[in-house]
Amino acid sequence: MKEILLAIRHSRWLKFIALPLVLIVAYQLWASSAQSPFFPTVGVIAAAFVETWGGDGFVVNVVPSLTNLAVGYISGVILGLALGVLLSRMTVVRIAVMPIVSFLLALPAVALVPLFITVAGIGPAMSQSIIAFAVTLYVLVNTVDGLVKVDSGLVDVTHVFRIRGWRQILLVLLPSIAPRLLGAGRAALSLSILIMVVSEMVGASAGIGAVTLLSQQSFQYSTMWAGMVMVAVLGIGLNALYLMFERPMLRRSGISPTARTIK
Amino acid sequence: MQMQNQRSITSNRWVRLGISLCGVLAFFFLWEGASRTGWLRPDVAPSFMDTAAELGSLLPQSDFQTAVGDTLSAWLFGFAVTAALAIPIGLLFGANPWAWKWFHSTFEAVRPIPPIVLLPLAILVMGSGRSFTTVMIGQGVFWIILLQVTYGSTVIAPVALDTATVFKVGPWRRYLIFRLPSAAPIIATGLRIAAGISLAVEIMSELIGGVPGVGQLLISAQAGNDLPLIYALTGFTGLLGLIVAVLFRGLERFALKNHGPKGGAE
Repeated sequence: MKEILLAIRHSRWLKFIALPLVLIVAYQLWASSAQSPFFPTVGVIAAAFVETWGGDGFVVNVVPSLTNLAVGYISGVILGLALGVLLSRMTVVRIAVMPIVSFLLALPAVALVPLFITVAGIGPAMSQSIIAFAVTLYVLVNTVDGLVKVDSGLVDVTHVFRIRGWRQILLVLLPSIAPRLLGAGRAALSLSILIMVVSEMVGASAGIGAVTLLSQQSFQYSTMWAGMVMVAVLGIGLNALYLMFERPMLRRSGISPTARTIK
Repeated sequence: MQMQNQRSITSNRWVRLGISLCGVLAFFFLWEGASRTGWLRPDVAPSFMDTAAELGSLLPQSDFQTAVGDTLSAWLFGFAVTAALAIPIGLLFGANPWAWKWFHSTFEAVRPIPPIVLLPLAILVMGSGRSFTTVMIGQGVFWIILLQVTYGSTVIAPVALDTATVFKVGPWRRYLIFRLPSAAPIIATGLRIAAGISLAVEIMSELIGGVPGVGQLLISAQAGNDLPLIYALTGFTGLLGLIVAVLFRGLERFALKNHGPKGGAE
């Protein structure tokens, strides 16, 4: 008995699942007694989830959303890193450009949706370009700020070993700010998911966000719930996936993953 | 040698300010020039002067002022309510490691849920009033503030807690005099991040939920295909974001200066 209690106390998995499980059970009990059309039972939501996002729904709505997310995010990261490295090398240009960059960073990225819809039209290009824009800014600022603050001793070491140019950047400087970059990458990923859903809700006929909002407007509340669950699952799942990659990468650069990044 | 020289010049505060100012001016000139020469097509972006004129004509309009007031008051209300809930709860968790152990991983898992997830349901149940925006903002930043506050209140130096024990400080005063000041800088960082996200969530609720405010003006400008108006409103939203960021950056600096963790903590 004592061993079981101890096992329960030390199980990370149980701690993780306990509160959500209690909440889901409580919701189920409440929903089945309340009989409100806005709050279908867990079983109904699960069935709607499979029906909406399985089979054709997956190809028509989930794949385009995730493609937009991936294209926007990856191009944003590459562009942000490249521009960040460039700006960190050109002091005067950096000082001149930074006010504009800070302004764009302070601009809530979702507020760009109407502008991009008008300029790029409704479609994948719109979602992708807003995501890329926001991710670029985020990664750029963190790259520049990290590289500028790199310990000058480290730079001296690269001079001693005659490590210059690209090798200096890729092998020494960027790995030295890896924790910060990876933290920024994670925050940028969360932001990308948000922008993806918002841009689909404002102007798209397909995609996860569009299906969720359209079903709400056409009174299909179980489909709406399926959409909400999908958005939450994407948020949690992609974050968990990112963490899975982040840990080994940090370990490779010789940094224990205990350092949490707050940005 | 030249590198050395350059570094010393650009480390001067006034020189930096001058270069920054030149950068902003150059940006405006390039924008205007690109429009005038036709390189920047008018269906992509209006010229800088047109955008500035549009913004200038917006500012005295009463519906615009009402919209800005709506956005700011809904943002501030939602943010204040969320912070007023999240800070005490976070401090309680910080003082209670047992409870924290149980809920920590769940809170961490809930945090990456996009702050839009409740929107469709919340509109149905609450309409698009103040309670709706507050719930949206709460769902977006409650976890962020809570986690920051809890982390913040665990970074207190053990010596300080020992001191409190030696002087037989009661639990409440222990909290107010010892934990809260040492957590202040990290709480301030959390509030800064949360304030920016709250503003984004407010704008988002206006864009999609039909809540009155700057976001709704943006949507009607988009429906009317009025490009100068869209640019002016987007630029204005950026200014709002910048003001919020600067104000909370100041709060963060203040917290760091006055109650900065003295050794041992981040």
